Amino acid sequence: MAGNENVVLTEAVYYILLSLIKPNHGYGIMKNIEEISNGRVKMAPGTLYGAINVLQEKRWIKPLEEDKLSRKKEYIITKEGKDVLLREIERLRELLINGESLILEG
Amino acid sequence: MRRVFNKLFWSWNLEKEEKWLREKSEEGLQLYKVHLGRYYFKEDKSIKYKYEIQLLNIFDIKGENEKYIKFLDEMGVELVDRLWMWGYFRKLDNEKSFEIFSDIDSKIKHLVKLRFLFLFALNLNILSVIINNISRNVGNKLIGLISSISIIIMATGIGVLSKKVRKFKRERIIRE
Repeated sequence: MAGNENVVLTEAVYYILLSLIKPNHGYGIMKNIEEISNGRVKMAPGTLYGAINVLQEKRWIKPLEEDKLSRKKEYIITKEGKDVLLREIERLRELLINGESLILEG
Repeated sequence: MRRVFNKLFWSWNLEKEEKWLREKSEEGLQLYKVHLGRYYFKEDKSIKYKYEIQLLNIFDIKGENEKYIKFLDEMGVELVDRLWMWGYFRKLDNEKSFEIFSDIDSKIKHLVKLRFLFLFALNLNILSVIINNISRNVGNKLIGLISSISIIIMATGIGVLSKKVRKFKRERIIRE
């Protein structure tokens, strides 16, 4: 059950899910990740392909009906995917708060 | 103008072959066809490419290879040619790094797939040595000898690939 999973996302998966809040295709995802991370995270095409397949199997993302005009396949995040993403943001917040408060105290 | 080069590389050291192809591209020779041990180039000094060679799915029942090649093409990675299950991919050299995999797990998976191929060939050669050594025929003995040499080559490949896998696994402990 995706809803009960307590998973730690990889940076790549986290950014892919974020890039699919709006419909996007492979190349768009790659560009978006590079842009929002200020060029720090660069996703290679083979890695992205594997990740998209796994995320589809997990039903965290789904393909959109193929647009006849565009030959590129687009994807979008699902309700399950959004839940996972929100839980991950909570986890990251906890890491940040703990880290900052302990460093400041120390 | 077209140029043909005959050259052999060990399949467990794809980086060396990729580097050679890149150097050729920098010299203005762009790969367009690959045969076993033979590379065909067209002369074009206006562009430069970076190459990556990948072992595609060996048992491609669901047509996954075609889907994968199409996806890479959409990402600006072009398949130059295929040599059996080896895909010769390239991307325009725009000073940015070119890797098909950016995560360690995918790199390990690719190396393990490569190693499986060597293991498969190794077992076939062991079988060949056993069968051919039973026979007293000189021809069979010769095939047996060739298979024995192949076993040494395959074992070397497996050793090199295993070392690479171990290196990546160690790295995975500290990073994705």
